[in-house]
Amino acid sequence: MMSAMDTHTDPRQLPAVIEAQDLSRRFGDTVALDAVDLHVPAGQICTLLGRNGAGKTTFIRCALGLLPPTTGSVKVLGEPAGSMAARLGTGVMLQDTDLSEALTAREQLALFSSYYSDPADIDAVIEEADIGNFADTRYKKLSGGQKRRVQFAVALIGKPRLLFLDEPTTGLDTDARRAVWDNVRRLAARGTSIILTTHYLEEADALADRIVVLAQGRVIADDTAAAIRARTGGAIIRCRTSITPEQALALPGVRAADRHGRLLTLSCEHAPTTLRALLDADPDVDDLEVTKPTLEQAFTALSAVTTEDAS
Amino acid sequence: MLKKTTLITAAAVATAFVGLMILLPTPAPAPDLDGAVVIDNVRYFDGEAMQGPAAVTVADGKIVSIGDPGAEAQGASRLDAAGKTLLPGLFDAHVHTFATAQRDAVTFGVTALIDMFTAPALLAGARDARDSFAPSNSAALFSAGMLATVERGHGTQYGINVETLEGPEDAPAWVAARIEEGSDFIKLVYMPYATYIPSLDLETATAVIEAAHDQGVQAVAHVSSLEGARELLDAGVDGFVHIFADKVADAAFIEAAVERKVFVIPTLAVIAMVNGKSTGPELIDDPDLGPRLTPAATTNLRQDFGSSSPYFDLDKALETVGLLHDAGVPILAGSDAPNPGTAHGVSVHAEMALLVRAGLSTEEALAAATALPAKFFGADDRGRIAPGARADLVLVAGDPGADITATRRIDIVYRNGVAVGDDPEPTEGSTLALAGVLGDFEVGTSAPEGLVWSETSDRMMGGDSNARVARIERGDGGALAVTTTVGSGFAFPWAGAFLGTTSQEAVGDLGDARAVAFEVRGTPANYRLMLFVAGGMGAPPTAMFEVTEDWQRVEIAIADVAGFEPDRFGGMAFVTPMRAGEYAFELDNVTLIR
Amino acid sequence: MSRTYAGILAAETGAELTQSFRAPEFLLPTLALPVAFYMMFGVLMSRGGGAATYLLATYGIFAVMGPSLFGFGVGVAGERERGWLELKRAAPAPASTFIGAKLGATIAFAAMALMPIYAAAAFMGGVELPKTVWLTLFLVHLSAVFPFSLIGLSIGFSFSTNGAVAIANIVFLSFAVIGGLWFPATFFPGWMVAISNALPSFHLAEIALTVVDAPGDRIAGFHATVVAGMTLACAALAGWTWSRQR
Repeated sequence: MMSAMDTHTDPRQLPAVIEAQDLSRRFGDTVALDAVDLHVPAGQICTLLGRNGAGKTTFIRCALGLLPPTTGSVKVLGEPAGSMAARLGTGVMLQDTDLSEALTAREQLALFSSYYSDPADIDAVIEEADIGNFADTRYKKLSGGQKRRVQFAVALIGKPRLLFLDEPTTGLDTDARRAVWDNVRRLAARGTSIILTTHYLEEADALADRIVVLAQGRVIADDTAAAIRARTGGAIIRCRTSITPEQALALPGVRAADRHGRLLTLSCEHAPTTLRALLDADPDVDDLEVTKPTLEQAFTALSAVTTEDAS
Repeated sequence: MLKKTTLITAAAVATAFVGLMILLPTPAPAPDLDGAVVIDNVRYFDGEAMQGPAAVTVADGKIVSIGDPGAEAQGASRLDAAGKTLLPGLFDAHVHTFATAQRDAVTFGVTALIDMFTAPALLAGARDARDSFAPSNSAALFSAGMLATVERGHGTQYGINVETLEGPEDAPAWVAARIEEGSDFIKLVYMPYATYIPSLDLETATAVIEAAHDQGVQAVAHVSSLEGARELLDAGVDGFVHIFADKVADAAFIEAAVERKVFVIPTLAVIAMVNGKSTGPELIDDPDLGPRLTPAATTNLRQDFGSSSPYFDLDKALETVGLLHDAGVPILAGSDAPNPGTAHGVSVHAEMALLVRAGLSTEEALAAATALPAKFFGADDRGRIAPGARADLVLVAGDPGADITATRRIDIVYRNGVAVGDDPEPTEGSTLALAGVLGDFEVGTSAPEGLVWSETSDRMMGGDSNARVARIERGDGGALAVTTTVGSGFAFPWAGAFLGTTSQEAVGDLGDARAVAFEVRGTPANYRLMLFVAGGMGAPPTAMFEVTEDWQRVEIAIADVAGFEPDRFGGMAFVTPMRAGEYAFELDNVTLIR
Repeated sequence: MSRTYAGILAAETGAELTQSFRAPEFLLPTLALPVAFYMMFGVLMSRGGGAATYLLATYGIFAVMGPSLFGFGVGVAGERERGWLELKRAAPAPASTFIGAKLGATIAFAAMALMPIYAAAAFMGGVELPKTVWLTLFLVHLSAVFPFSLIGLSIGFSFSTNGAVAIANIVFLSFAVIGGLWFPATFFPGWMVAISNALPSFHLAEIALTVVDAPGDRIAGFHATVVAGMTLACAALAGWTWSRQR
């Protein structure tokens, strides 16, 4: 069964798993999605990154056919979103979704496995999702983390070609989160396409081939993690110094300055220019460190820019 | 595992369902309910106490259910009887059945008669008629038939030929003959202390009672004095058909009556008449009963003996009845109709009122006319209102439980579940199509189905003539030999042979018969043929014919018999002249010719 | 194991049944309450007459109302609130199997609630009916699942779990009392009869009463037509409340 997955053809020859064109969704006056165009080819782990309310979940619900778009369209696995064909090839783990409280994990898996013509083996899924310890406990009695893992297992039961994971690690401890990441990577390695939403940048950074950044319903960036970092350019300078952030902002090329105690963090466009000025201003600079910006820092920068653009 | 749960649950529910369906009780198959009647919201007397209101469903001559008529009442006609009371059809536990007695009784809600002496000829067919569930306008008849008495004793004065007893040795054969004739029980007359009339002696009376018990029937007694009654208690009598009215019963008698478990039919109505306190006028004047009376019944109710007898004191009788009842002796309602001052059916209503006067409660008085006579005379399916009981019923306005005279407010009388007067489906025998031979006497004195040959004389009207009929051999076949003694005790004396219908309700239809033909010889004289009109009153249409000592054929054209209605034939009589004397004649081949 | 409609329906029904079996707070009142009421009013307190039969007809409707209104109403509200319904819609399960399984489980529980009443009526209340009448009565009682379930569904789609519990209870009690399921509607004053006539429970009870030939004049065809109309109206209401979910 697993071998069937292993013999997937090259994902790049498959049609796009998600094809959103000019997808908009309004709730009254609120624009949740604003003319989103998104093309996700097979085989990718695509992360939808954004703050709460950025439109991630609305996009997922549209792609699952749970919400009809106001305008535009979205196709999943080449089929209209929400069609039976699309649903048959899709595994879903939604935010704010509980399974049946009175049933055990094994029973929930049995129920969902009946929906598919070639479902995964229930025991194999239990092992893969590592829920064997509580597979026969009623869902109601499980902890929050255990519940998320059971939901993850349910998403896998149909051997999906495309997996939607809406905030899959929310509420999980670090170990559990890493276990989910391992699972996601393993699935991706087998050729499963994955659409993942998260507001953990670390998660996107760790998993994604591609990051789509959403803000206020719009795609403001769509690229690899490295490219997005690169797009923000510049460098981060950390050091111990007596210079205040206000003084630092006056230095050439400094975009942002932040200080915790004597530790000053500067975001700058060109490290050498700023460094020179910094060393001139305070010869006693200590613990100097120059790094590339993290995705989080890039994301903060992107969001800030977008907000300014919008206003 | 979920699919298994579904399958197991479905299988368990289905199995439980099938099992339950198999076990669920179903009512007994409903009888054919064509013509079923639901008497709804009716108070009813079940034989012991007032019940209801409820719905009483009647079908096929029986009470089908009480309470929810349920599915059985599909198509039944419904009668809302709110405020009315349904009684079991009443019994008159002491009558003498003549003429239209059974039909008259039903008119007044009396659907069963306990006859204490009548012509044995009437008993033929009585059992079949009372067991039938066919609609009927005639009361069921239970009868003693001939009574046990002595030559010239009480009972011999009524014009019916009575076979008397001479001594105890006659008893077994006499009782066997009565049972053979169709008597349901034995009645004996025991009045040894009456000075004006002979009576059975105690030894013979005891022998009759014992013979009756030996042969499986009960024996009831006519007594007129406390002493006589006391002696018969010791002789083992089952019940008294009058209460003595010479004295109030003493404690010893009452104790003995209780101990012997006898029942008493006091016949207070007739005692009241003899005591000059006839209930007749009150019944005639009743606004509900009066209009239902036939002229003959009215005449009867007006009659009395014209004098009060010292041996018949109503107050003493009432007191004795009260004492007996208080002691637990069952009291049954009987009127002794058609004695003067009484009439069939109607007098039971007076009797029940007298019983209440004697101290019975209204419900006990009702039981005296329903459940108790049914119990003591083996009328198992009568006298009660209960599922399965025969639907002989009386619906009356008001509540007899509160006022016994409410029984007189008769609304509907049901006989075998059909309202009397509702023109029930004509049943076989109710109209007899008559044609051809009415009597050839080849075998016995048999007549066509529904007819019977018997003797007739003016004794039934108080005269002293007498007649006997018997079959004799004549050539290869037989003829009817009639011997008569015409007396002078009646204004228009008669005696002779009578061809009548076996059932009171039967009416003969002579169709297109032109004449009655017959062969006759006998004491030479002018004889008479009387053709009775069913239900007719007064002197019957009559034709004369001459008899000689030689056989001759006589043909009498029906059209010549003035006043006769060929489609309402009630009987015919061949009678000897009115002149006092002894006559004998033989009759044969009585035939209707076209 | 391949995907078949019957397989999905069986699994969904099994899930429904399993959930209910594990919910004594649903199971006990649903199964035990109607028969307990019937025992009290139909058997112990009615002395003979037609009461046991009359109340069998009406308490049968009452017994079916519980699983229908609460199973569908409160159950669906809870599932909707927890997102379970949304997950089902995203999964490749036909919507009809979801409704079908709920109906199947409700019919099973209705039958389980009815059978003890029938047994009490027959073996303790002395009710005797021809087999065809028993069977017809059972089918009439079971058919009450449809209108009541659709009403339950509308409640479940329209209210939160707590709201649905309250509304279902109000509907349940008013349908039972004003519908004449506890006491014959013939005892009601005129204005109340007018309300009764607007309730499906009243018309369903009248049909059941016609089946057992209870006293009174009824036209079964009229009541059946009214029930059919009300069921269609309930279906439209359920469809409308369902569509508002999106």
